[in-house]
Amino acid sequence: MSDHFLGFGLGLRTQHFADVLETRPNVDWFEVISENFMVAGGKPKYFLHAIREHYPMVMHGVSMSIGSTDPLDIEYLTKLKKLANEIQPQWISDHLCWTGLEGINSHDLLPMPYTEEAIQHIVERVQQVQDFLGRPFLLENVSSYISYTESEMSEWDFYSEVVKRSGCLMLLDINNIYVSSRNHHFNAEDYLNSIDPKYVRQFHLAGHSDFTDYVIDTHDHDIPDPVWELYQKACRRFGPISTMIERDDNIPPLNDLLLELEKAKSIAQDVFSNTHPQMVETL
Amino acid sequence: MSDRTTLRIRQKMMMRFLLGNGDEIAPHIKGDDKVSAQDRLSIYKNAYRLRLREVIDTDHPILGIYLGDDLFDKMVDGYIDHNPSHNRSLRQFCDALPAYLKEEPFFSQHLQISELARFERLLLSAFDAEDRKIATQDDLQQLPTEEWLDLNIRFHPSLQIFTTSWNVVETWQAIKGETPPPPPLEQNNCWVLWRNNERLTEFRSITSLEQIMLHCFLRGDSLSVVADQIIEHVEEALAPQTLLSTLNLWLELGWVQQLSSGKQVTNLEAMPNKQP
Ligand SMILES: [Fe+2]
Repeated sequence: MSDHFLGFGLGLRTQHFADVLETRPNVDWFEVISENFMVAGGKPKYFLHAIREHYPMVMHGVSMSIGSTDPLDIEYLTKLKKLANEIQPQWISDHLCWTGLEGINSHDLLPMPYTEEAIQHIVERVQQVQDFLGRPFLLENVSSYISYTESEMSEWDFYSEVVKRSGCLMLLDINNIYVSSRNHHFNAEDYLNSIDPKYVRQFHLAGHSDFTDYVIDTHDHDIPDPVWELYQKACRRFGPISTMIERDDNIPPLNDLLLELEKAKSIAQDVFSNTHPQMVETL
Repeated sequence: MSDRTTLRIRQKMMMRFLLGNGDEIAPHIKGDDKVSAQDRLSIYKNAYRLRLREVIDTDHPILGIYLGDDLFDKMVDGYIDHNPSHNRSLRQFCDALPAYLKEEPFFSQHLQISELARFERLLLSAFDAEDRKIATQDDLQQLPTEEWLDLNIRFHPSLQIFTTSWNVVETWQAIKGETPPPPPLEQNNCWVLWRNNERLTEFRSITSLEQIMLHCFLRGDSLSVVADQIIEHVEEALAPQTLLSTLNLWLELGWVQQLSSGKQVTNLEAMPNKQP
């Protein structure tokens, strides 16, 4: 069993701040969006620190732009490091993508071409980021709707190679694997099976919008069955991995998310009752 | 990375596409019989505009209602085209909106619109400004009498002063209260916005006398200098009482983070609130 298994967590969202602090729900840990707390003070920071006193946290960023060909943004990284010093997260994550160029931000997670050139570029930058932050750093696979004609390999080979060469870890988003498998017509299980378990530190679960011919990663719905099924397979392959639910839009009451989290827990427990029996007692 | 690498060239093409400046990227994207390369790319372009639109909508809810759907769309489209996001955080995306509305040929004919946007931005600034401890009326009382004349004030970082020549705060309040806004009216007003002890944003209109006092204290004048300034506006005999009651009011409202007399800083820490 992994030393880093935090259990079952939720994304901390503004709508739930007061509820979390007052009711102290049975959530093992929270993931916070780093950028939301890069403000000077006021309510967001008050709740962040108050909730941190009661729960472990990890920091999840959306704008590092590790794949961009712009220079790394030292000002951003400095703010990230400052926030990490304040809340002492178990780890920091961002996405295997680029988000902007020449100082302009798309505020989207834009996919990379899967080329050797891109691998070398990202690996060098991940190493710089890790040196600067001095904390465990995870890269997450994104949902994508395009692929580039010059790609030389599969997404999973690209992802694995970046992680292996740079020494960072993986945040595997189960929903994103599903979404991309539908959009690019690959088998999501092939993706899971190609990933070396030793790199996987965290899972994301989320919902999406299915338009039949393509699927968009909207994070505004409950987790649908195909994602639960893939999650079960991931539990079998990777064992106990810190798992959280990412809900970013159309945010339901905290209780609804707690129920969804219970479902994740029971799927994992079923799998681990065979593979990790001692573990199940502690869940 | 060199400008000639394939990766950089491709990223430039993609950004040009997102910003609506050309679709040289299309031949480099795979399409299939179900979803063409163009349709795939459109997902990103639509998401880009939609995301920025949502930010404007969230930051400026009252402005949105004031404008109505058609003008709001016009503003959103114009602003997104005119001001691509230069900040990693979306929190700053609309910072240039008041200036845009003041300059843009159509909106600049209705200057109250820019002022309403500016007021909503100041509300946001008060909301997440830096945390500082606040000084209290007790702190003022503890100040030795002989140091009063040298008294300086530092205000809480959330304090924002909104000086406007339009009745936009009344407009904001009416829409917030779901009543019809008053017609735009040119009138000089000064408001102070701040975050109170419960971390809620408040604002109140201030008198011209308070305005003078605020101005003087903000530029670093001591109490004796401020007293000289207000004598031109109040009866000399009433000046000390006016000063004292105004100071006490500010302290009660949580506007003041530090009282100092040059010789000593009263009990307050100049440090931000301690974080765990
Ligand atoms: Fe995710």
